Amino acid sequence: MYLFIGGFKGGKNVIIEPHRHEGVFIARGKEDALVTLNMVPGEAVYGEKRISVEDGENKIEYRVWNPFRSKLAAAILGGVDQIYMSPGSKVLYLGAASGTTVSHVSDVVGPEGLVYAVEFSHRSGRDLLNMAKKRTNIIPIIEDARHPHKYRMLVGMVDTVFADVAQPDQARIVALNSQYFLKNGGHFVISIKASCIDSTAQPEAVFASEVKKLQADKLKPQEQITLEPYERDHAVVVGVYRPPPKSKGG
Amino acid sequence: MPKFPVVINRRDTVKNSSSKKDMENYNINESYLDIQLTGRKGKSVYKEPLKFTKIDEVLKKTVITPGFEKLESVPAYQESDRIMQKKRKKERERTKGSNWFNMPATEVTDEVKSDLEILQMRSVLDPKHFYKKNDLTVLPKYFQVGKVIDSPVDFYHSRVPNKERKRTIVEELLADSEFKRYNKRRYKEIIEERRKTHYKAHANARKLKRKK
Ligand SMILES: C[S@@+](CC[C@H](N)C(=O)[O-])C[C@H]1O[C@@H](n2cnc3c(N)ncnc32)[C@H](O)[C@@H]1O
Repeated sequence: MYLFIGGFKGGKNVIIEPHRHEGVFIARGKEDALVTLNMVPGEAVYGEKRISVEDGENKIEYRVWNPFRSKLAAAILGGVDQIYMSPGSKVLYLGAASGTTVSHVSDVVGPEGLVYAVEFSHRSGRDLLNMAKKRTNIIPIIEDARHPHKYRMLVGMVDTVFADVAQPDQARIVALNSQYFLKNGGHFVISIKASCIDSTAQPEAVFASEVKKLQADKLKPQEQITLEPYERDHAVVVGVYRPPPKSKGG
Repeated sequence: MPKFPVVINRRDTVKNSSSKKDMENYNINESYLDIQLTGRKGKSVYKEPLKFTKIDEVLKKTVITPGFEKLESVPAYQESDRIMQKKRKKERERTKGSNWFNMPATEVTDEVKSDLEILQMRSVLDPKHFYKKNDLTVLPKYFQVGKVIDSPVDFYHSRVPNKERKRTIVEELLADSEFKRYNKRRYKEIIEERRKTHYKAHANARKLKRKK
């Protein structure tokens, strides 16, 4: 169990190893922490800890990815099987906020990948825009994700749609954006906060009804996990969009 | 005697072609060289040795080089697919590959090795901490050694003072007073337990000691 990061004091020694998920790493010390390779060495995005590695002349830096502040990190530590965001891939990220998680996704997909980050609040959007100035693989889009036609000229086809908009109509938002931008056989990863959708129903019932809505729009769920102990009554659902028909031979 | 080339002389040569005198003056070699050398604005055309045959070229590729007789077997003309594959594999294995941004296979010095080992045993070392079961029983091949960077926000509460900084995880542990106290206590406990459960063995050991 990876709990928290008291052991990551300035000056401590750690060992960095590749994580099972591509583009992701673990820092091992007295405790373990999830980390990503910092695309902009020398800078933290939200005050997170950084780890420097001296590798001959090139200085490499990793950033600690806090599962209490990022549902994607919580899902990875919770043992999700796939995130479908390997280096070089293109991700449409709905509900970017000020870019905490987006910055790590930007590290994970790396210089050859792309993150289209959609956020409708101008206040969070400001931080997002500032961050995107330094991270060239982020394309910030300050729009309402309910209207993908407004940014269709900015966004190409993507490999994965990630959504964390925390809205009751999230399933519909994901379906709409997938119709526009998600390639057939591409994947989706969505975080569902039960209380945002129906604060009176049991979380499990809410998750089940959300999954049904996704299925109706050709978003086929493959995996579902809850985010305990990092978030309460949250689930992450991962699946595939319009999978190619299975060949009859096998 | 006028020197060549002089028109008059030439006529003479034509007249008595067998004249020895003329032949002496008419240095064929010299004139031949002259023509070639001054061919292009006096620059030498002989920069590279003339390739009279292609043998030199052919010999470059030959497997018979100096010391050939000492070789155990005739080296292959081209590298075999298998050797090429091996080489490529070796090259590939130097890093974890592009999916982890080419994280290198770091050299395992003694210091690094004990740090890696201590990480694998850490569940035994800290009683208050619950660790996930280690998924790796062998030491990792791809890894890097890093140091947590100071951040100004944490200056007072989350920072190891410069004087207390250590170079390795093992040194950090050895300097950790709480760890030392726990270790001592645990050691005593184990000895104490032994005394109870292995009563006979202990009694024997004491006897042997006294006999000495
Ligand atoms: C839970 S926060 C996302 C946090 C972020 N994913 C992270 O981990 O750093 C939800 C965000 O979605 C944004 N949002 C909500 N509805 C939206 C919509 N229709 N279009 C775009 N963004 C939306 C909110 O402004 C808010 O910033």
